[in-house]
Amino acid sequence: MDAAIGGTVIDGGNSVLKNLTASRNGYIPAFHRDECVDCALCDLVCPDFCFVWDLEEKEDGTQATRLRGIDYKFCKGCMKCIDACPTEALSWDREIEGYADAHRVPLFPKLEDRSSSTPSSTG
Amino acid sequence: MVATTKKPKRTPGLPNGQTLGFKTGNEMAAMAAKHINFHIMGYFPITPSTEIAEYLDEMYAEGEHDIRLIAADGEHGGAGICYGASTGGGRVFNATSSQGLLYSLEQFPVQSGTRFPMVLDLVTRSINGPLDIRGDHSDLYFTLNTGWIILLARDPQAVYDLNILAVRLSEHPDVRLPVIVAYDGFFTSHQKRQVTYFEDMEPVQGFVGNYQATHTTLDPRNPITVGPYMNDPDLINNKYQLNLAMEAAYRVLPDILQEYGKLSGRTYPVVDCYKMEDAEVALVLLNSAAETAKDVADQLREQGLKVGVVSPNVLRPFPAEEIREAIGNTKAVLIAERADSYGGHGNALTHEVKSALKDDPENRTLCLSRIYGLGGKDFLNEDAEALFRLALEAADTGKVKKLFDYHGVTPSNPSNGNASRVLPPFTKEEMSPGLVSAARDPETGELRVQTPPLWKLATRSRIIAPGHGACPGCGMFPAIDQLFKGMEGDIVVLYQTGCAMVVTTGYPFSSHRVNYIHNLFQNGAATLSGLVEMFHEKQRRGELPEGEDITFVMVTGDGGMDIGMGSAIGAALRNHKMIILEYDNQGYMNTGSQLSYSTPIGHMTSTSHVGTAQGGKASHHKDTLQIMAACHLPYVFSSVEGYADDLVKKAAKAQWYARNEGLAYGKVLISCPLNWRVADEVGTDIVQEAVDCNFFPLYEIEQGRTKITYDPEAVGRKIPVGQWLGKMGKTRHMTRPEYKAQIEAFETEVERRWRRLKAMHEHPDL
Ligand SMILES: Cc1ncc(C[n+]2csc(CCOP(=O)(O)OP(=O)(O)O)c2C)c(N)n1
Ligand code: SF4
Ligand code: SF4
Ligand code: SF4
Repeated sequence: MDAAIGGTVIDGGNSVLKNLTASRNGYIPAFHRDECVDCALCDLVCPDFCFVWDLEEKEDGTQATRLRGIDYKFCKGCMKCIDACPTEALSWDREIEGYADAHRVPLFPKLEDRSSSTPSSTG
Repeated sequence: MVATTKKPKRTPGLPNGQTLGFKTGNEMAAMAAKHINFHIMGYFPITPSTEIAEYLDEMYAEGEHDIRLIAADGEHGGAGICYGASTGGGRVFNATSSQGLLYSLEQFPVQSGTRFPMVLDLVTRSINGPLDIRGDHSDLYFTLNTGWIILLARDPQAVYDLNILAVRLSEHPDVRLPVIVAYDGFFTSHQKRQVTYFEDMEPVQGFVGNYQATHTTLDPRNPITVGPYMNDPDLINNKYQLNLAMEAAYRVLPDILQEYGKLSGRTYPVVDCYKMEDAEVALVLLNSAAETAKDVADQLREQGLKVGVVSPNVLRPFPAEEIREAIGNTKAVLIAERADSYGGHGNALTHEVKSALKDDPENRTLCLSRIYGLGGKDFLNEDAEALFRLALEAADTGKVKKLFDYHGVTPSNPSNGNASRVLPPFTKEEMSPGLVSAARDPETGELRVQTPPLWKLATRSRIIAPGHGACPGCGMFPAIDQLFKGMEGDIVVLYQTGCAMVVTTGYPFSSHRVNYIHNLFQNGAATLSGLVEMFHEKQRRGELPEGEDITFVMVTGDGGMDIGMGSAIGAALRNHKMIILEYDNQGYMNTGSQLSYSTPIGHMTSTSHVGTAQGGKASHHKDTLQIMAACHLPYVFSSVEGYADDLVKKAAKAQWYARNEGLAYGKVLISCPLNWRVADEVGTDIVQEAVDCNFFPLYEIEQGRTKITYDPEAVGRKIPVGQWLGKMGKTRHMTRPEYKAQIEAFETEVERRWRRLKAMHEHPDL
């Protein structure tokens, strides 16, 4: 009743509060940092924008993007990234309980204490 | 699933070869249509009525009926197909809902005013905006003034029976009017109920008989003029005739109901009255909710309360007499409506029931009116009870406390409305990372774009946030994201109706981190063009800050470029400074994979089934790129998901043209693993094969100059179309020997279009 008029959502991007873990059915892409060449091919095909990157300053002063990991909260387990990866940095693993939580790299670290049940100012 | 695939067994004891089953309203509508064996069905998919055409297509593929099913370019076109067909003196059927009804509404008075019978199933659904696919009656009420007869089917059994009755009523020589059979979206259309139906079409054929049209446009020896230009003083006479036809319908309906009762054993009254003999209080309401109210009436009767339920089986002509008889002796009635006439203090049913009572000067019945169940909100027993209690209170006190109100609105939540944004809006700098640039070469005049290596774009801010609800492996968002990776500066997007819109904006969530608008997919391009011009006009008047630079992008599916073709062409011809991005997944995926005009020949969809009598889609894929190119746009391009280098570059060019010259249009092939029937992870490879077999050439047309940007032959990657088709569940059948001719026809067409493109590539004037 106190929602913004017209059904307007005034908080675009709030879908990041959702947890899509339940969309995976038993398999998960595991990330092996030491095999990764930071080519970002995985990132380009991921429908759910799960890859988390760092911008690093190199010794010569140029910037480099470095893949930090995967936010499994949004990963639906489609395995497109594995298909795209030119190295062995991503592997098709059976999902063991607790794996995702232990290996997850949050894409939006500031939101970690907000629950998905309370989208905010859309009312 | 088909409504009947195997012959059902006759159930002994049921009259005239009928059998028992357990079916939904949509299955029963399709079954009735099959038994009637209409000549033509013109339709366009829309939830929750789409299944009717899908079932009929599946039956057609197995040779179970002869109805010619025509997938229209939109509901307006669908209604046109039906109208044209009906002037030919044959039987015509259509099914729609919600926006589909509204989009074709303009055709309704044409159909009735020129007096051509047909049947339309309206599977009721809430109307936009905001978009809601669930069932209420806000579409139904728009039909009241169209001159169509309206029958109401409260359950799947009635759906079947009233469809058959509708044919007889519409074609009655004194009537000759089109008929709507309306039933509740999801509640009736999708829930299975026990039903009885004829095993074969013969009894139904016998009942509907042969149609002898009053007029036909298919008899050259007896030419007629349909739809003359008619002003005063004649038009009022035409409408009076229509009014007489409605009165005739009211007169002949009971006989037809009786006759059908004899055939089927099921007799429908004009108004359904439940426990009304001694009722002091009643609810008046339409369709499925009445069944809930009946259950509650039973419970209240156990408590000694004299309550009943009244619900008409026909809404036009309005059965005023029967209603008055049914409720005239009650102390109080509550008229509950699943749609409002905002500001009208009750919708049409309220006022028509009241006026029916008013015609009896002695009547003392108190009337309350409530709106309930909008947007498909459930009408549960406790809701019915609450409404009964309101009416009982009025009966007891002899007073109506509140004449009109809403029932079932969620109260305010004080914690809402003041939380901060989940994600901060992007800064100007974040939107313009300076990674991509485009500029004209002053010497050659050529547009040169510079894009960084792809890995550098990985940290660029994304205007679509994760958490959207697309299926695993869907190609839409990688493609859309790659497009925006090629752009700099602020963006405003408009998404037309379709998967990308639905999965990013499920209220109260939104995945859009920039300004976003939805409009229905027949009108997005016009809508965005209006906003583009508002932007420039505000800039001109100095009402926007200096230096504001916004790129306007419309995102649409291939279906949106069918129904919205006119709107897109209009915007293209006006050459607004905007971009149209079509993501082509070769079908209407959001509504369950119906064919689009971009679906290639032979492909299996839910409206182009593969069976003994039909082998997938019958016609070739639409060449939308060339249609848009014919508008002589500054920039037209094709690309695919997973060919990011290509897409990012073309996006940068598109943005340059949209900033400087006018409209840019791009079509990007993306995978839909769900409906292409492929594994989630292989979409990118499959669209690559679609390119490598020349089905989907990558090219651009820049200011009239065609340039193939990737030639599979030149790099030795050319494959036969069969290799691509063999990879997808929706096309695997095409590689079987019996489809040899079809696959050859496809390959021939693909090669013909490719040669044509090559010629254009080689010649600057083509
Ligand atoms: C006037 C109207 N008719 C029909 C519909 C139902 N409808 C919603 S989305 C859709 C299909 C969209 O197809 P497409 O544009 O290809 O996008 P996709 O769903 O494949 O992403 C249809 C038919 C509607 N919303 N409005
Ligand atoms: S499995 Fe799919 S959703 Fe998950 S990270 Fe890989 S590409 Fe993204
Ligand atoms: S595709 Fe593989 S190698 Fe490349 S960035 Fe991703 S994980 Fe690393
Ligand atoms: S149905 Fe197809 S296009 Fe729609 S979200 Fe699913 S995969 Fe994507």
